[in-house]
Amino acid sequence: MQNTIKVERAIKNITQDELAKQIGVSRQTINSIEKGRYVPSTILALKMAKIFEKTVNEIFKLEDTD
Amino acid sequence: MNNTTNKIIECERKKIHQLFGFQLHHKYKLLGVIIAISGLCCLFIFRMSAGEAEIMREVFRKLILIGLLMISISKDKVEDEMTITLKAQSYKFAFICGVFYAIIQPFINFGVAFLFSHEENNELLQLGDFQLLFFMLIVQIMFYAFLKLSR
Repeated sequence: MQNTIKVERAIKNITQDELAKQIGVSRQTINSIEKGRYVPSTILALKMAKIFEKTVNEIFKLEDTD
Repeated sequence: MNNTTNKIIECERKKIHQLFGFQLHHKYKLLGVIIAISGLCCLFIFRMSAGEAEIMREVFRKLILIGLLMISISKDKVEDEMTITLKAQSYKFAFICGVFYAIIQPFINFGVAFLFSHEENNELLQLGDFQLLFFMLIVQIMFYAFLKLSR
C-alpha cells in the first residue's frame, strides 16, 4: 500500500514526532507507515486523514500486489 | 436471543478483551530485568558453591522465569498498535520455536550423550518445564527487540 504521508507532512510542515504525538503513537510507527513497512489500522488512518484534512483514500492507495 | 443473554455475551466479550489487553506498566520491565539477572546470578553462585538443595535451585529458576515474564508482558514507553502487532508476532514465533525445540532437543541430548558419554544408560532425556519456558521467553523477548529494531 502506498501513502503520501511524507508529502502531507511537508505541506502541513510537521515533523514525524509532532504527528506521532498528535495521534498518540510512537515516532517509529509513523516512520514505519511512511516507508510502507507497517499498514495502520482504520482508526489510525482516519486520525491521520483528519489531521491532514483529507480523505483516507487520498492518503492511502492500494497497489496491484495488495 | 433475548436482551439479557445479549448483555451477558457483551459483558463476557468485554472481560475477555480486558484480559487479552492486560499488560504491566513500563517500570516493571526494569524490575523484571533485575529479578531475572538476580535469579541467574544466584543460580550460578549456587552451582559454583556445589549447593545441592533442590528447593533453592527451583526457587532461583522460578525467579528467572518471573523476571523474564515481567519483561515480556510489560508495556513499552510508547505503546501503540504497531508494538502490539510486533508483540503478537514475537509470541507466535516463540511458540512455534518452543514446539520445535521440545520436539528436537531430546534427540539432540540423546545424540550428544550417545557420542560423548561413557555411561550405558542413554535414554531420551525429557525436556524440563524450566528449560522450555526459559527458551520460549528468551526467544520472544529477543525476537520482539529484533522486530522493533528492524522497523
